[in-house]
Amino acid sequence: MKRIHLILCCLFMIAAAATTFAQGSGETLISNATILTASHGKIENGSILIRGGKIVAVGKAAEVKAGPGAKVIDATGMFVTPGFVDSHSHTALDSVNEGSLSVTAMVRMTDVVDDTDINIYRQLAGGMTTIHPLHGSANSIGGQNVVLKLKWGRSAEELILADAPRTIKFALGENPKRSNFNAPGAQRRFPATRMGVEETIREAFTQGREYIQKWDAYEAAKKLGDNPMPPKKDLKLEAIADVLKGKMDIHSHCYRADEILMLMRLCEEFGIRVHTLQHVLEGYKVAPEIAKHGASASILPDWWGYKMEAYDAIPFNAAVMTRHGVVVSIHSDSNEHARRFYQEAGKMMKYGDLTEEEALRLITLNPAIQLRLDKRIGSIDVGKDADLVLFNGHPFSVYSRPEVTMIEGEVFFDRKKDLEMRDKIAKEKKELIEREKKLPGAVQPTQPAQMIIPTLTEDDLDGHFHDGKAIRKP
Amino acid sequence: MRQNKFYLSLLCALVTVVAALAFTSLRPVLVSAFDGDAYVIKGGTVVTVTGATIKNGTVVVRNGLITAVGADIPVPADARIIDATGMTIYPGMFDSYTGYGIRPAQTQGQGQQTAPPGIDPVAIFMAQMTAAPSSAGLLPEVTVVDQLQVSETTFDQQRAAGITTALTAPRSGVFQGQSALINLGSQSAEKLILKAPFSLNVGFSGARGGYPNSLMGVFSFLRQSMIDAQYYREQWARYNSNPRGMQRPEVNKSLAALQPVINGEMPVIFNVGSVREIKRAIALAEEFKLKYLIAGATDSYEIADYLKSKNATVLLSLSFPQKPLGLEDPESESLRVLRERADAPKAAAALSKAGVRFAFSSGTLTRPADYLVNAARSIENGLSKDEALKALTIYPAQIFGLGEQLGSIEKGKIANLVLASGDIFDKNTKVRHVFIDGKLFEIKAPTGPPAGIPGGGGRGPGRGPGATPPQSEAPAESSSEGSAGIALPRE
Repeated sequence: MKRIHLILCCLFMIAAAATTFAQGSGETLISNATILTASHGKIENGSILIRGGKIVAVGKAAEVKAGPGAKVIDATGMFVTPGFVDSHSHTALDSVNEGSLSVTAMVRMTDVVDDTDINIYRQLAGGMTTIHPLHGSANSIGGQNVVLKLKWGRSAEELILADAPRTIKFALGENPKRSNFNAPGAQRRFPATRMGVEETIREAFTQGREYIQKWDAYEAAKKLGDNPMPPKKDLKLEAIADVLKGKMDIHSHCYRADEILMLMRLCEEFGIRVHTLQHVLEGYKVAPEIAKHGASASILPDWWGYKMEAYDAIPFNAAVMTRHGVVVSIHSDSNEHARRFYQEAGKMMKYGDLTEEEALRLITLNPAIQLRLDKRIGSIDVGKDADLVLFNGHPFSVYSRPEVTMIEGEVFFDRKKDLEMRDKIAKEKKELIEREKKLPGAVQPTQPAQMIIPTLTEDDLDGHFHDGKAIRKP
Repeated sequence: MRQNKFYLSLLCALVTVVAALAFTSLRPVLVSAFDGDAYVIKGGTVVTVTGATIKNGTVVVRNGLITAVGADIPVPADARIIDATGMTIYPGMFDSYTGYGIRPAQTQGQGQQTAPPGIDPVAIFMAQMTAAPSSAGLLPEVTVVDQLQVSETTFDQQRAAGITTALTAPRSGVFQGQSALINLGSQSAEKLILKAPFSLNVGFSGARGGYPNSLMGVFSFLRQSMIDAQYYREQWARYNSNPRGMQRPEVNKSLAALQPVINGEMPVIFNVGSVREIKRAIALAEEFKLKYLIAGATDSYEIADYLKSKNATVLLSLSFPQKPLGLEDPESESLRVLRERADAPKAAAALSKAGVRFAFSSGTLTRPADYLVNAARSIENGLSKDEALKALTIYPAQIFGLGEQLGSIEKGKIANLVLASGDIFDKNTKVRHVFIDGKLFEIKAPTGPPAGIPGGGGRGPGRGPGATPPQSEAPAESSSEGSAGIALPRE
């Protein structure tokens, strides 16, 4: 009897190992789905073949053949889209704003990634696979951002896309000039006007240029055989220098048309360009200028009116800029909106008649381009990461929901498994609560419940919703 | 002599009354005031820790040191004899990371993220924004020695709990101070110091009113500080090797204080809790090749193997997370929070099993009396009793470079001893006498368990609701928790 158990055990283990193998380095075939590629149209009755985390074939079901032993997901009646990309997020961060100074180019969001943030999982359930958590908008020049793949359950190091091109947050207008954050009695921080914001950035660029010159002079002297003392390494100016050398992309928070033009001109003066304008609420007013400068635009779809500079919004912003040749994406800037990102994209078919594929690109290929990761993610094409979402219906229908989300061919959200897990979680929770009740006196609570004050970000106070922890200004 | 005894009993009686009235337990009474006194402790079970346990053993103490240990050794005629029949004698216990004995003014927390219910978080946020910039918590040259303030009674509760040696430092800010290892006696601070400075203590809570005021700012600040210190080293090295024709570099106290740190001569103690804080600390230490220890680390059970792979040393906090008092809906807590509470007492066993070098510390524990109670919980959760005792004695002694002086009962070591009524991890055991630097402190047990405490009657004072907390230091262990929400198992 015991022996049978042992044999069964062994068989089970072999089977388990085989399954792992099939998932890990073997092939997966998603068959017979409606595929929205985001790059080359819609494929009805299509299949996708995945190997080693990459898409190796995509096309009509009859044309895509898997080898023996491939794991087959029958997706009949389902829609498959690329995993969504959020180019403006504050998810999975322990801290958002270093609000002390108006130039904090030295701080890095890579240092504060919170791999336990439940919003990672919630957004996966909404089809999100890549996010761009930014520094807040309190400063004219904020910190260095990070790109994450939402591999829930993995450590921060595995979430961080280490080889993603580097980006830095800039901000213009009311937030960096602190219009809405004046505590009575507080010393006002420079800058306090839009002119001051421009001057702060110009000053930083000027310092950065001098810093580059200092190092160039040092390198030149070293080449001549001298042994000069090197200049002092300054983490803030290193970052600014990288911006000036085009090694770090500017993602700038902005609202008004005048400040958008200001930043583009200022950058042109220093021989660089704004890579992505964030929010760009009045972008529709200066769309040709944005296109000419070569900036892309990442926008909030239809939010408006939460502060003075947010009054002149129109929901046609995405369509107008797209028609002028600007690469436009939609962003969430919110843990809540990020969970139903696809609905936000769908709205843009209504406002300005974007095509289905154009609307889908707002949350897939276009943000990937803005992160300069479009060779790797953002559409369903051979050679790209198998970051895919399986919907039970068309993703722009309010009745649809993601059933499976995978990153690099690995399933990180499965609605069926989630439902099963809920009972297990409830049971474990109950057991732990009961167990705690039985513990001896020495470990009973001694201190009153403490309210944890969430780390408030400028964007919270801005009136944006940040996952219920928003403290909205009246 | 008789008169002395009379006053002594009178004093005892008086204190008993006061204690009973105030629900406070008795203060340990200083019996001897002379360092040169000799004692013979006879008849007890001597747990030497490093050698075999001696039944009916004798320990001789003279001039602050242990001069003899054994089963059958000659007894000096001039020594005062202490009958330890029925008692167990241990080396004094270490608390390897605390804020004991520091002037309260220096220990006010900064940038704290918690507040009593009912306070408007926006008001607190605004208050932080309006605070005047201060360099508090940003100066590596601050030493704990300058902040020590010790009276005869300062360490009463620690001694009553069997704790005789501590590593102490404030626990707020980024550069929290250069720590001191002290014996918890009653003399002036200078006489208590074993080693100072031992380490530079670093935490991740930002400054008030200026840069850095965020977690990522703290990391940039730390990085730039290390880079500046390296630059300072280079500048002075160049100047010292060839001063002629070279401008003299400016002297900078902060950068000078960082020199032993960047040279790997002085360890950094990182004050961290969660797994990701531990990993961030280790990454920073590796980036600048710092010698480091990890203090707190209540979540370390999750990453014991990782800590072993890094060859890290952990000063594990016995301040286990507790259920908040007055929690209305127990269901409102996430599974992650519940798991953390259930698993924290398993950390010591996990570290021990993985072979990680560790010692116990009280962390943010406010009552020293809970220290050994929680050590016993680590035993209930899988740690061997022998390892638990070592993590309180010889391990910290070795970690702090005091292995020749402390941590066991051996001839020639400092006479830090605990005489207990039985097994130190038994909840009914009382500490009767404590020796620190050969000085005898008699611990008077409370007459009964203080009312209203379930399962009360633990060792020494400090168990009751009226027990005064040892220090007014605000627990300000840096923490960036709070991401709870609905927890799901991480696949």
